[in-house]
Amino acid sequence: MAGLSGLLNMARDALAAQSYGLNVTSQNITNANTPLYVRREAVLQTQALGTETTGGVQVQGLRRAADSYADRSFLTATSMQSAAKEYDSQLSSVETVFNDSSATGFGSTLDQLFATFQQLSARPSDPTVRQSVLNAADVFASRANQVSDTMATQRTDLFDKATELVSQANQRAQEIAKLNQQIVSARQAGGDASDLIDQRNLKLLDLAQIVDIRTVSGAYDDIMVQAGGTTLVEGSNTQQLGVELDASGNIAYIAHRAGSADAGADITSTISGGQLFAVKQARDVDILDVSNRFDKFVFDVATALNASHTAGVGLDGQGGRNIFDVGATADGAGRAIVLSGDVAGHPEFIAAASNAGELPGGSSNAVILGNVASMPVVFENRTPAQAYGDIVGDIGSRRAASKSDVDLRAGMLQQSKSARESASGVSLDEEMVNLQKYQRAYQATGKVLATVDELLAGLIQKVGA
Amino acid sequence: MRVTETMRFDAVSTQLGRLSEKYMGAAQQASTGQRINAPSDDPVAAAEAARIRANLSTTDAFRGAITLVRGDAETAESSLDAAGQVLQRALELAMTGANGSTGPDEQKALATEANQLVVQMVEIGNTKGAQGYLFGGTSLDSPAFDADGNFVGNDVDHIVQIGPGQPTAVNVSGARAFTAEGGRDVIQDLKSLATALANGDSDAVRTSLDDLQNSHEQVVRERSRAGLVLNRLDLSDSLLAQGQTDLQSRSSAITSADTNEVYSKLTQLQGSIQQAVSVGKQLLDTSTIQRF
Repeated sequence: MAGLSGLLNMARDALAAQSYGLNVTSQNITNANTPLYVRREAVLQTQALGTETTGGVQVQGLRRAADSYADRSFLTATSMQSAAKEYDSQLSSVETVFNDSSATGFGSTLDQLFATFQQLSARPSDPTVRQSVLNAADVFASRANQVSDTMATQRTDLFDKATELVSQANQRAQEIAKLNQQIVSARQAGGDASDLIDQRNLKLLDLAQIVDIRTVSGAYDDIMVQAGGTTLVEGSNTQQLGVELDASGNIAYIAHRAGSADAGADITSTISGGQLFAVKQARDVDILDVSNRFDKFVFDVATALNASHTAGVGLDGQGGRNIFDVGATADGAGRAIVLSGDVAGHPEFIAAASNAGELPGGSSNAVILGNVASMPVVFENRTPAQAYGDIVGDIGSRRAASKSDVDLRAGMLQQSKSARESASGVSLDEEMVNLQKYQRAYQATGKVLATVDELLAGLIQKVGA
Repeated sequence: MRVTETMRFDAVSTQLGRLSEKYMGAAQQASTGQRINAPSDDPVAAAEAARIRANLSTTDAFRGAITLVRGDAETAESSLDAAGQVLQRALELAMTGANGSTGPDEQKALATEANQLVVQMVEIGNTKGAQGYLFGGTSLDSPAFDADGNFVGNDVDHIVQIGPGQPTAVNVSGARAFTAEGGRDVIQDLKSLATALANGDSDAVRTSLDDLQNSHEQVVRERSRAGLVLNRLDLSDSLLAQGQTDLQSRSSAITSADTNEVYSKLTQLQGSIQQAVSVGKQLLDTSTIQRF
């Protein structure tokens, strides 16, 4: 047991320990709103000097109240939510293109075209009616071009977006690798790397939004980051991601060693979260599907109308003219379709009559053209209106599914965020209590000092006098 | 579970965010009156609505076509009515002429009137409708009868789709009403009468009487056909109008928002938001910070 001077030493250490506690508490309070800040705890313990019991206190260091499980599921939930959000916003653009609820959508242009065929059958020789058939056919073709162009542009934009996202991901990976290095040096030197780890967590969160990642911690708090089955960051080394178009024009994500000339590995199919996944899914599955379906629709309608139109004759008695030029196959029909040069600018060439004998008042071919509206000419067995309804319904279902996925993922993210917060976040209530706790202990230690001082003073007075 | 400041704030803001989103949705429904503002609001209904819209458009087009052709059918009917009257008068002339008791002057006057009837009949045969000559079949641009009363039109019907069923001929065939195609060449019969009267040939006049009788029947028959076309147009139009109403109410049942429901939802959400705000305020106030 120490004497009075020992008591003084003890009080000195106690003051240091309590002010350390105050320091940590104020750090926590300061960072109460810092994203991904992990609450610290001051670790105090009794002092041991060999076999001697001193009863003193010493600061052992800081503890980060991190929960690696909660952290990992937070990252995963972030990837999934980020993917769902990105995917939904892309589908929402496609949906807008086909939104007919205002009756100005693409569907009405087809209705309009068929309506002019009915007019034509009632007034087969009227130049105004013939002109309105040409106009309606032209509007149908150019609206089809617009719809297809919008989707094609969106696909181009999505490739650009993927390129940008990949370069962001590479940037983040490099930053994580650098922080890894700093953390390892700090830890090897016996230092505390909490702030660096917090910073790295922010980078990981950024990266998780772009691509779903898995993390494995190393011995010195360094971290290995894997994405799409390949290692992006290991220690201070990184692999670069790249994006290119494969033979069929679809996005392919490639991983290769930074600076190396090898072709790298295609990891497209193993990426299952984050914006990269959403971009690929929206671009190469949904928009492609919808776009192909739309092409087929336009092609089938145009081909059926052409077949009927070529069978009839214009006012000049000539037949065999197309209404639309649409190409030989459905591929890209939406962008390719134009009013045929056979009839463009020549309303008199519209084939209302079936043969030259019934000119100019023959209307039987106009009736046949109008009846294409109720014939199963699209998608093998659907009428144009049914088929268009199918397309609208298909897009609606895709978007409805993605909307509900956004809600689901947001809920899951919220949950895992709460779990992470609960383990690692700062509770001001707690910190206020801690503040009191350390303050009181500090004050009490002061009292101990005063008491020892009084005792010593009394002793010195008695002995000295 | 430890509850931190961030969790408190998040809970309040998430809840308010969710409610605001719902409120926006309900407000949009209320302001547009539409339950479906995008296909994803109800994909099945949106697809059905698109089909109904196309159906409505077709129905409109049918009705439009009926309006366009109805006028001509009416004109054709009244023209044939006039043609019937001309033949009626010719029959009277023929009967008078066949009597044998008429003098040469009277015969001449009868012949003159008969010749006028020929001219009238040619005029009737060359009646013009909205598109052109009514009785020339599809040959709209040139008169159906030349100056001599010879038919130069054709017998091709004007076919129009006036409903979802079979296409219908909406014209009256001039060939069948006035020419040998229908049995008798009406103008030729009138001409024969005029010639017979002019020649004072009472046998020929009697022959003409029979022929004119047949001609008259022929014109009356075609006139009733014109009436039939008009009936069919009207019937089809009223069926289409009925169909239009049905489609409109189906479309509105599918896409329209239930006004009462939307408004009560809006009110309810307003209440929820106020409640959430006050709960949020309390939640944030429970923090012990103020007490220290």
